[in-house]
Amino acid sequence: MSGVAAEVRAVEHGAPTSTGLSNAKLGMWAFLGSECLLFGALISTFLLYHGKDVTGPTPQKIYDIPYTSVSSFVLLMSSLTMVLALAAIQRGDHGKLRVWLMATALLGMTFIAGQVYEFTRFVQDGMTIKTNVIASSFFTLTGFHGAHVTGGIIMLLSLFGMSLDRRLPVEKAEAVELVGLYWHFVDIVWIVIFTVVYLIPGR
Amino acid sequence: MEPTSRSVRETAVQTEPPAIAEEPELVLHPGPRQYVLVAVVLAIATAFEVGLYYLDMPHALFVAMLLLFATLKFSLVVLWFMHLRFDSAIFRRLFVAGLILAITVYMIVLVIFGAMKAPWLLAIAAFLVVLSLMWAARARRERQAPAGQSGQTSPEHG
Repeated sequence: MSGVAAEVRAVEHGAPTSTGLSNAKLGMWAFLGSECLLFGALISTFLLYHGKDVTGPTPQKIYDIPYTSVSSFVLLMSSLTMVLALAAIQRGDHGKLRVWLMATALLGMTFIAGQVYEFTRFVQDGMTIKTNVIASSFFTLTGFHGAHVTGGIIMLLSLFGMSLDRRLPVEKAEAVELVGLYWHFVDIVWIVIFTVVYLIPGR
Repeated sequence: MEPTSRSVRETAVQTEPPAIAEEPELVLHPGPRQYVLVAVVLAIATAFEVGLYYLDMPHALFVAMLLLFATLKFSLVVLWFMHLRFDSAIFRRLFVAGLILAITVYMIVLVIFGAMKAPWLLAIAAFLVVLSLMWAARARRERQAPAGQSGQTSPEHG
């Protein structure tokens, strides 16, 4: 496999389908494809208004790039813990699964706490969602992303609870994989937001 | 792989054992070591991005390099952490279709409304075309490779 020392990690079980693939996974990928359009619309709306002459403070004037960089790093590393959780359940290691699931949820909560703090500082600096169109599009975009992360945290904690309750056997590893796909998606959306919304306009 | 006693217990509490497909799909996923390596590359790329922010350089070069790093990070997460490199080609097509549609539609919107200059649109479009061609060439090579050398176990894998 392209020089990669890979192992057989998973055998997917489930009712036979016409594609031979899991319908749930197929549905998740279709959902993620459609989410690209949602976040694409929100990001382009911000870019459309970026640079427009408006009154009041704009996000790029009050960004704290070192702070946001740390937040981005936290979310990026949560993707690592998520994929380690999947690897753990696929090899039947439920103890490690719980550790990595909780680590991912905690990293996600850290990111959300950071976003709440950032929003609070922006409001204190005089930039609210009603200040101007740039601020509106910024809060809408990052708020939508934050809502997605929050949804992911709830799913992670649900999986953690199911695992504690012995309702997450190896055969249900796909549930962890589906939540993982969703979690990685919010991570890649943030990769784009960090570059296109924070770093490029902020300079 | 020997199941642990706990996993055996957890399997046993299920009231109905799951139906097993006649030909279960074997999926080759990397191990934790590869995941950690990918995460290290992601962290280094992020550090470079932030470093570039403080460097004095022409704006066009700054934007181009940041987009390059973002593309690298995006691809690493999608291909390795989301397993698109290893899973069925159908999943890849579904996701890439949405992604390309979004990029195309919104870049055209940005150019029409003057938020992006046409040369940037052309440069990004050319970059995407080159990426797609490289991807297609790789898929063709893997299809032509004798069974067992491509590392894939399902005919859907590409």
